[in-house]
Amino acid sequence: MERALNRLPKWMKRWEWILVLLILMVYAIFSQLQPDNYTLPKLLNQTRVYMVDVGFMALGILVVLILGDIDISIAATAALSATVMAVSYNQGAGIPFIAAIALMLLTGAVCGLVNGLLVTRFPELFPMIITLSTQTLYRGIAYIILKDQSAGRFPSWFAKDLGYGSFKLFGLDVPIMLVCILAVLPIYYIWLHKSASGRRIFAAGTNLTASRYSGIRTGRIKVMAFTLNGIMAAVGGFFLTSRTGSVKYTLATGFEMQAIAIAVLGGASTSGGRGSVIGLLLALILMTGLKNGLMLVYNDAFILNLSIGLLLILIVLIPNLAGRLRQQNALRRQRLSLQKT
Amino acid sequence: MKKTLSLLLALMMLLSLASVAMAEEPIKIGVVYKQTGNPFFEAAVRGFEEASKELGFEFIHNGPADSSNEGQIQIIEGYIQQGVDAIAISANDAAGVVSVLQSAMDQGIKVVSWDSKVEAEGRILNIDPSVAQNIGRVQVEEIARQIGGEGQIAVLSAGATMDNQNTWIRYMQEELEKPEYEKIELVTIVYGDDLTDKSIQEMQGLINSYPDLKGVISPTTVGVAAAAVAIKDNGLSGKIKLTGLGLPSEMAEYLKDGTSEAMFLWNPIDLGYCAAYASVALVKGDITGAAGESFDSGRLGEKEIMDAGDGGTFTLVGDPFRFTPENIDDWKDVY
Amino acid sequence: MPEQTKKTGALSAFFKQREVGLAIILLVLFFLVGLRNPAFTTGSNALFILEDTAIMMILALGMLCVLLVGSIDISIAAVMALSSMTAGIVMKQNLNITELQVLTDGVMSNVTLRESTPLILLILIGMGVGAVCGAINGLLIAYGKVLPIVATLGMQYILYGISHVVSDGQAIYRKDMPDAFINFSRGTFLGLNSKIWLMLAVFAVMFLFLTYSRRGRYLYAVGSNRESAAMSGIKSPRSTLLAHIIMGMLAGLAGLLYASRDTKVTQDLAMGYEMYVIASCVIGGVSVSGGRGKAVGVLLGALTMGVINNALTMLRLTGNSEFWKKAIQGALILSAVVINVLIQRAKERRVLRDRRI
Repeated sequence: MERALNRLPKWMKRWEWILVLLILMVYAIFSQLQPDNYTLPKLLNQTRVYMVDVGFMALGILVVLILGDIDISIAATAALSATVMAVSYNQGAGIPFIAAIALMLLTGAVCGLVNGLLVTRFPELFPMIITLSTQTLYRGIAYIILKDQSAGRFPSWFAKDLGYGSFKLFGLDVPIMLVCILAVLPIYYIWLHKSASGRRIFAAGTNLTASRYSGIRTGRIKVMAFTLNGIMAAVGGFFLTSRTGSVKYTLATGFEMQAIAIAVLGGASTSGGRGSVIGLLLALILMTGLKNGLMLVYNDAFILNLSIGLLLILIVLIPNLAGRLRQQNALRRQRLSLQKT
Repeated sequence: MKKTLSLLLALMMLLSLASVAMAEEPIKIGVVYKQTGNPFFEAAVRGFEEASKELGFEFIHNGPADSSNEGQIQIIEGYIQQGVDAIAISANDAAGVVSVLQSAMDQGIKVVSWDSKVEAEGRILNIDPSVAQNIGRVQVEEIARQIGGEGQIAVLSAGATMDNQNTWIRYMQEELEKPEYEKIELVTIVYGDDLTDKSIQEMQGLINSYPDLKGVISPTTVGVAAAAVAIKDNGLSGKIKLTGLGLPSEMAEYLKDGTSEAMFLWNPIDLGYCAAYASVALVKGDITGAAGESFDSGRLGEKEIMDAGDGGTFTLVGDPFRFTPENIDDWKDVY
Repeated sequence: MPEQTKKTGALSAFFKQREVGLAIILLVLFFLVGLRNPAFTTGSNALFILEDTAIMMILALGMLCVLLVGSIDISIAAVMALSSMTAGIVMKQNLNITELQVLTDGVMSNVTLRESTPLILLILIGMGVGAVCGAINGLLIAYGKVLPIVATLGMQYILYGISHVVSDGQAIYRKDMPDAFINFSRGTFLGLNSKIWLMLAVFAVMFLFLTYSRRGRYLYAVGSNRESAAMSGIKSPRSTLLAHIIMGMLAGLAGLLYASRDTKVTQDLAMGYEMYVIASCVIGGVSVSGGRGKAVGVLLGALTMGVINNALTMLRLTGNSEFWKKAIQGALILSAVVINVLIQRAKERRVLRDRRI
């Protein structure tokens, strides 16, 4: 079996094809189980719920993961940025909505910048701990601002057109927010995989010291990556708010882990040096299809999460075990060949 | 002759087909409540079950574990995808679910809110458990009686965005402005989000920060049970008086050992039952939800729809019932 | 002529320890707050803080072992939920309620007795479930070579899911609990609450284990330098597995105490708690990369969080001070780790300086 697999051309052994296979499997299974509800037009509508907001956050964390770092404060950043937007629009003596959005993006950038500066100035500390504390801090600030209340009353087009609006394409209703993220993806892909700047990021993630000695400004790259991550988190929060219509300090709870899971499923490694935008997109599609299907069949958020958790572990475990097996086989073959001589 | 006969036969076939089609498609209701793991809503679901046996509809029910707005939106989106005929919701955030419910109504789904209403643009009809003013008033009367007419009191509420909470608290505050309560001071309102450990923490905070606190009103079943735990653990049963809206099954013990002298609630089973009947009536087209209409609510009789004053309409289930150590045993196994 | 390094007496060595510095800061903080609100520095309030943080301390002691071997565990809250749910279902199914008529001082009154499976058995079940969960974590991380964050994140989802399935969406309420369990977290012995006694017991065992037992010292070795440890013959996967099993057992115990205190077991018990536990360890001087940390430090870290929490309520700053707690906690953890790093850097600079050639 293994030799047959080895004969496949290199480009087919890529991780992305496994994802495509899983997507097709999931679609096949669920369209059989729920033929009326698991249809393409309905799934397109569901991307609103499962794909866009967490997708933006996953794009942001992807860059951080490629660098070999981690950031678990993205959900808190989203919450704080959305809080700033809501409060400045409602209580800032009526500043225009566009200005509120700008403030939101600025907040996200600042949150990310703080993380980036802390990570580069204190390399002894793990990004895990730094972002753990900034997570509590950012959500805490949102809590101080909003307390237990929620802030809403956005312009009506925000919820109606962005949150729930769609436009017709080939007779299908494509959600506007889905178009937003699909528009960003090619830009991201070209930057990360085809440009020199992206190549530098991968280099820094693979070997930080070597990159620094080659003249790559690793400190600057890290700060940039974290700041970008903060902005993407704010954008994710923006789209999430357009659906919920209000902001509470608990916005996006748990999203940081979901975003990391998606990036990892898409091929990123937490030790750095690996990641793929296409893989991320495929992982998003897979998750959307899987979550939606499970929700339809079981109507239960816990079972949903259980399956995602199981999937996550298996995805990482199986290659490890396979690698182990391959190593043991190779050792055995070596020993056998030595015995023959 | 033959033509009329064949026409008649065709008509009969059509009719029987139609009735078979109608019989094959039972009405499907999607029930959304504030959270799972809450016996109040488990009882309401029993009300839906009772109605479904009488009316023959199907229903699915769910709620987020963390009483969040986003969780409810996700559930509603799932119901829309499954093509339910009606959604019956007790909302965590009266404004937050409006967009998604409007999207549901655009697709022909009837929306009914119960227990904690949705803002008027997001619903067709609201089912109120009792007159909100009464609910606020009786709790203030009770705590005033228990603390002897003077002293500091506090309110332990659920979520700051829950409409029913805010409405009842507003009526409580209005009631407190009456001259007979001028010696009573409402020091603060805290929010436990209907989460047990958060509610216990908030109650503990009240005990620590306000040493002269005489009484607590908690108009939420999770809150009043949590407050009872905290009061009892601090050995303050009877020193800090407690009342609110509590489930007899949870509060029976505290009524008997004196932690609370009396509390109120209505029957959540009736609430769910009525909401079910209203939903089915809307789907069948018996009512449109306008003020002045009325619908049959099974064993609860005929229910009238009234103008709610918030731009929409509502109907009432009953009056709050006062539980005391004497009558609690009759109810603690019911809900 | 080489300069002589200063002679350090036993007393100054004692004070140089990080944990002592933390303890002093804590005491100073305590009395500062007491100046503003005298009710804060009473013995009863101090006991109250201790009681409130006891559960967190037990968890932090378990997390200490995990962090020492360079691993991490963010599934502890889910372990708490599953173990207390399992015990809860067992106690609910075996519940016997008897109503008695008791004659006291010539007055007849009704007394309800709730009995179920013996408490010790429930504790064993809870800790057993916790140990199994910890073992799975350990196996995935040590032998499956899955990264600790990924493994325990996935397990968190899985365990909460199992807790939900097992409970069928229903919670366990006070009326389903035997008196023994309800009083588990409420009993007092010699004036101290049972939670405090349990915490002290766990602390004593942990202290002895980490300082004097071989397996305990192995944890430190594996965390500081995995390769050297392997060269010395210590099997690091086994130590990692052990650390996670300990964490699981303690999480099971903590879960039962938590459920007893709330008189409620929900399928999502303690969600979010894991971050506070990690924070307590970090403040207490435990290194996230492994190899460094003391049981005493962990207790002090948890106590600091508890004191800050309580102080904020007692200070009665601006009306309801609950809102500042989260932000202050975040700022606190950040300052603690940064200060840690700065101290470490200063130490290294001094070491370099003292090595005059």
